[in-house]
Amino acid sequence: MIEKNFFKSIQRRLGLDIQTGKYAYDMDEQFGYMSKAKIPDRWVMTTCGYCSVGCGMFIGEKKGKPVSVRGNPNHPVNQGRLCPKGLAEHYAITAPNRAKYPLLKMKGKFRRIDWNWAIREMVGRFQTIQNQHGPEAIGVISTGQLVTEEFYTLGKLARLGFGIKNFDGNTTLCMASAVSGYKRSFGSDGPPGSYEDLEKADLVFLIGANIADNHPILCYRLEKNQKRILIVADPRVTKTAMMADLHLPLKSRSDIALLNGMIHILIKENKIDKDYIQKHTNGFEELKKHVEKFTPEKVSEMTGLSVDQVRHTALLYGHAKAPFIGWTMGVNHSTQGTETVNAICNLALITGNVGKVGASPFSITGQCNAMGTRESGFTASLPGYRKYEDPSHRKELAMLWGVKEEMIPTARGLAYPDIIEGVVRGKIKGLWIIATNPLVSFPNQKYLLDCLDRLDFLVVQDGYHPIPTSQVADLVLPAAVWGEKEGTFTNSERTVSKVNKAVDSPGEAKSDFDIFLMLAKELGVTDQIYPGWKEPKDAFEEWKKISRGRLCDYSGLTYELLEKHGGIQWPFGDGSIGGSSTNRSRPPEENARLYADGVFQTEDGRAKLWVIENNPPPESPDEDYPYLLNTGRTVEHWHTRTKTGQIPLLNRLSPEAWVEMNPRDAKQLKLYHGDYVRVESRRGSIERVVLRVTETIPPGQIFIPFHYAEANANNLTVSDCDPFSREPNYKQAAVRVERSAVPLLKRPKKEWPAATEAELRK
Amino acid sequence: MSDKEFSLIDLADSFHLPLKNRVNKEGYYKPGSSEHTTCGVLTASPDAKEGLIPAELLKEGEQYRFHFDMSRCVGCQCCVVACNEQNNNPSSVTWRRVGEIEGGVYPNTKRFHLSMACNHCLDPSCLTGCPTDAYEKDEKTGVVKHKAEECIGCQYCTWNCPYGVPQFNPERNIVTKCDMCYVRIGDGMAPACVAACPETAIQIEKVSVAEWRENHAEANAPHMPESKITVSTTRITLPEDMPEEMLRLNRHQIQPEHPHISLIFMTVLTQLAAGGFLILWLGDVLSRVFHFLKPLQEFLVFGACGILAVTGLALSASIFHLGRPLHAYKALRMWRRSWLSREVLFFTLFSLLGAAYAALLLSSNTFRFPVPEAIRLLFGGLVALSGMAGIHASAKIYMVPARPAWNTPRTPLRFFLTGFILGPLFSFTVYSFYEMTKASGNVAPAVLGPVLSWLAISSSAGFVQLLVLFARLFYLSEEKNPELYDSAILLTRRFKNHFLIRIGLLILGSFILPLSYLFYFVAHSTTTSGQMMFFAMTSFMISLFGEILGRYLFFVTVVAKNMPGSFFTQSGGRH
Repeated sequence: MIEKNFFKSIQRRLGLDIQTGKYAYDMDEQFGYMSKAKIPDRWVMTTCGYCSVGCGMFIGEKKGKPVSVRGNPNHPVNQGRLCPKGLAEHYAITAPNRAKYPLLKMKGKFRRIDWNWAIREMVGRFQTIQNQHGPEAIGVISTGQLVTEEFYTLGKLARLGFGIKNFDGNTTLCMASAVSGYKRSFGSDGPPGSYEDLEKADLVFLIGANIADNHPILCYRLEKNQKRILIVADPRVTKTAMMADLHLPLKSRSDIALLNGMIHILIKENKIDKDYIQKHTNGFEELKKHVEKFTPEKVSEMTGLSVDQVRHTALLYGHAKAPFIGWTMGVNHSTQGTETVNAICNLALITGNVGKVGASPFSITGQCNAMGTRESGFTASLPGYRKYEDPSHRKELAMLWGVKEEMIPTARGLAYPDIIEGVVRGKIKGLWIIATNPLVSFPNQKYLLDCLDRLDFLVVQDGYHPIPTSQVADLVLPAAVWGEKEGTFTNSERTVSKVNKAVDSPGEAKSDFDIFLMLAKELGVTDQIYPGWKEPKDAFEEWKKISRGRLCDYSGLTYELLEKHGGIQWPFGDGSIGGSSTNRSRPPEENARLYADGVFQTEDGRAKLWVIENNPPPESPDEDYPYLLNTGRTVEHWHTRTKTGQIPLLNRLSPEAWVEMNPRDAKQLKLYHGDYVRVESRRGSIERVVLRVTETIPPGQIFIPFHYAEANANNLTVSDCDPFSREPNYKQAAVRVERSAVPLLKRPKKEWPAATEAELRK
Repeated sequence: MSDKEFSLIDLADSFHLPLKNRVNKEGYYKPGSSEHTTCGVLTASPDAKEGLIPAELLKEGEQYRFHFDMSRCVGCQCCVVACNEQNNNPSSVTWRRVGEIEGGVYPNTKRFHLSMACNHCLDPSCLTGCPTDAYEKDEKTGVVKHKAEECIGCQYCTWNCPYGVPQFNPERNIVTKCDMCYVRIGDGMAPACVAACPETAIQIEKVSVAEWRENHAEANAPHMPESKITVSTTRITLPEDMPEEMLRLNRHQIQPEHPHISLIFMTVLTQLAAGGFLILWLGDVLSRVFHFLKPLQEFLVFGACGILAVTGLALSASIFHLGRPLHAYKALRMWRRSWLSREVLFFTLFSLLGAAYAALLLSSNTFRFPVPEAIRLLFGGLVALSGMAGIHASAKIYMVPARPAWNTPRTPLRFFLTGFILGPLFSFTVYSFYEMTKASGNVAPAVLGPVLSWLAISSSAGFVQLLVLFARLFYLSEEKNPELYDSAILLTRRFKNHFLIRIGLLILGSFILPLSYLFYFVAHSTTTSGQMMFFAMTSFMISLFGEILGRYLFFVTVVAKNMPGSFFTQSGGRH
């Protein structure tokens, strides 16, 4: 072998071997002329495993290996397009850091063990802890990366099998505020609109949503709309802001003021739908009284926008036939996230723009299956958007499952940040983390590290190892990842799409579904919670029954139907229940909107208008920490880079974290474009991160993407959470910036554009 | 106003909102829609229907080209990844790249992206420079194709292209580049990058070659190399609201270029050989006229052999520069067009004729086969001429518009001066060896005639070289051209110490050592062959090292023209 390699390398050195085979081309029947090495034996239809846009795609499998991916031209969501992460997704399966064997930490070192031992160890340790400290001493944190079937299975295992109370998903770090907001305004979770609305709206209003970086395929849908006006509210001049007809560069955390101001103007200008308000909402008079004080002048002062900008935005929204509001983390990642969502819903409700074609307040979700976990899990609500506090819901579930009613929990367990706090307080001794990487993604990392240190037993079940969180685990369970397992994902617009297995998992890695089944068997609860289950389809069939008649009705869906149509929106009933919404029985390719009839999921069927104040963020810049830190993402990377960090091309395009700073601030600090700086907050620091001097960020603010473990923005962020959703306030923290090390090269001249220089001289 | 007539756009217009890219009230400019006709054969293609590729076949005098709409691109990098997936390229080779520029003051900031692959130029400089005819401008489509089998990996095209398009693939040891997925276009399918773009910012269009040659202003964009160099065909639609001054996001990335060690040795040694041979031949001629050069006569054969040895060394060094050394012979192919071919040709001639000249000398001196002196002198003249032509061809290789720091008359001047600094000193060194072999003890005073002539030539050349260096510094510091400015930064900051040492070595080797030798000789009036040897060796080695260091700086401090990169990517690959 060595001789052969030596011979090969000599051959290559001399130029006799130019790798002609590897770089040959051929014709693929489905996708045309392309690199021969990338033409697979078969294309396996599936749905992208990164974000919640939910793009349909194919994995190319060749001799048991994933060699390529292509967008599905017939999928209703993306019509063949994929973002750069999706276009390179097969590399995430073959990444070198895949977890292959169960590992148990003994005397500080990981040792490979077999699955039987791993399952016995985990169940034994958790039961010991529960026996000693009570059932609530175990916490489970899972994720929207699991397929719905797995999350549903996990929910039953955790709550009914282990009897664990404290179960949550990392979705709480992501869109929990949208969930709480929808619940408070409409009585239930569930985004009312569809992506189709982006194409049919005459006004698209994005608040705190940088879709060009985070959901590029939504830009594709938006660009199909030739006649829309796009308004983007974002303190940064993001790539999305550059697409906008009107960019509102508002101050951080002043969106509630803007929304209240818009409502104020619309009421004054009589551009509200009085009939709709009267028939379908409660609380208008209080709202009207409350927004009295949000005069355009006051709002201009609070937001930093001009009176004209506020007025134009309100009037455009008020006059639009189909105004669409989309938001993401700029709204959710806030101590007032839920309330901001309520303010958005207020605006949509008073103008009657909910569930209409082209018009809805629409939460653009984060993870590929965040929606599926919201519907099927035991986290913020009982499966099928049932309420913990509603005895009839509990009774119904118990009946459907054939279990005793007492087994169904009567209240939600601790939310993610509260589980972590529970550990710190010594109430939680064992933690099971599934497919998420809090040691990059959780705010205030020092606090989290301290927490994980206090645990008696930490189980990390993940497709990747070593990653920051798996390194501190006691037990690592290797899981199959996207492309290696079957199930369904539900995207932001409630479209359920099929996820398929293209290749086998490496080593002894097993699908999360199989791991849950093994644990149930060890617990001896298989017959009770998973009667006759063998494959994810069994879980899906049961989930269909559980969701029947609920808002999130899956009962009419089958794997075959999903494969045929690429994706189908819920509610999609089996015809047995009419329900209030007629959208339950319709052709599968048709879009379904919620609340089109103005009937909401509240007790009286009316939506609630909330009185919302605009409060300051938990931490504001001061003398010691003079800059406001904003965090976010970049298009090349996904979350904590356990996947994309292993993909050479994506890493080349965006290899390290950076800090964006306005030239005026940089000049004051005598820092230059390309310098390395140190960023410090009251909670921690980043020692070395490269500076990007740019006018895309206002003076006084800095921006750092959170993906990078090596320069983790979450060393700096605050621990404060939204009181309703428990979602952390990632977007604002006070920091200071100083030079980290002298760079090798810098350009002394031409650092600032002439316009800035002129500005500075004023 | 009745409800039916009401348009939100009218309302927005009354607010004077600068609606983005709207061409009229009807809506956004729809790419490619005008090209929809029914007579084309490709109308059945969905990609043609979407306006991604032309629906009609090319007419006579037309070629395909990219259209890039800067106002639509959001910098999502889909095209880059899709291209690498289409072509199975490693991450270090990206045929399509996305750059970023920004301008204005917050909140009226404008940021734009530039997604660029090959521009399939009308005058492709990659093609004209290629020594092996590995490039072809396709007659039918206008696509600039690269033939992998013909490529020898000399990477000369990567120096010639002002856009950094051809990239060396270390896995294959050859250069590769974008071919516009022309096979896909022929099949009625959009190229990978075009098909992947979620914003329809990239399309394939047809262009009339003659009209475009007349006016190609639309190929220009801020921070893009001017289109006139190669007549780039990519049409760029610029946003209407672009501020006048735009900054490159990668303005902090000033990376040294590859030093090309084998080329450093190859160029310095061939120049030494060519310069040395000219001096030698002049000695051969002039010694017939000037008495003080007489001692040269018997030395000629040694000098010639020494120079031949150096030439051999230089040419073998050059082969290691190639990605495919065994295919080096192909480099001769395009001597009608490529300066690289010509360089190879001239130096091959130089070494062959040089060997013949040495053989003639040997046969007259040693073997007593007298050859008419006139023939020998003529031969020598030819050798010297091919050597000079070789240096000229070498310099021409570097004088490419894509590399402004090289594209100056100083380059040939520096190359010739290297020859005239090192050539005489090399002869001096060989000569001192020759003296050592004769007998120890004092050197005959007559010998000093040629030696002092050599030293005089070398010192003068050294003096001019010093002037050239300072001139470079002077011009660079005054520079408005961004590449030259960056080049100056590299030379005076990153490589400041190298540069100071280089100047020090030049002064030491060209002035201090020769002068001290002169003083020593004047003071003592005699000198031993050992002393002469010492002086010859030291001044030669120091000057040689000085010139090698100078050549190293020549290579590493050049900054190539390129399209703007993103914050993290240097504009192109390293060449």
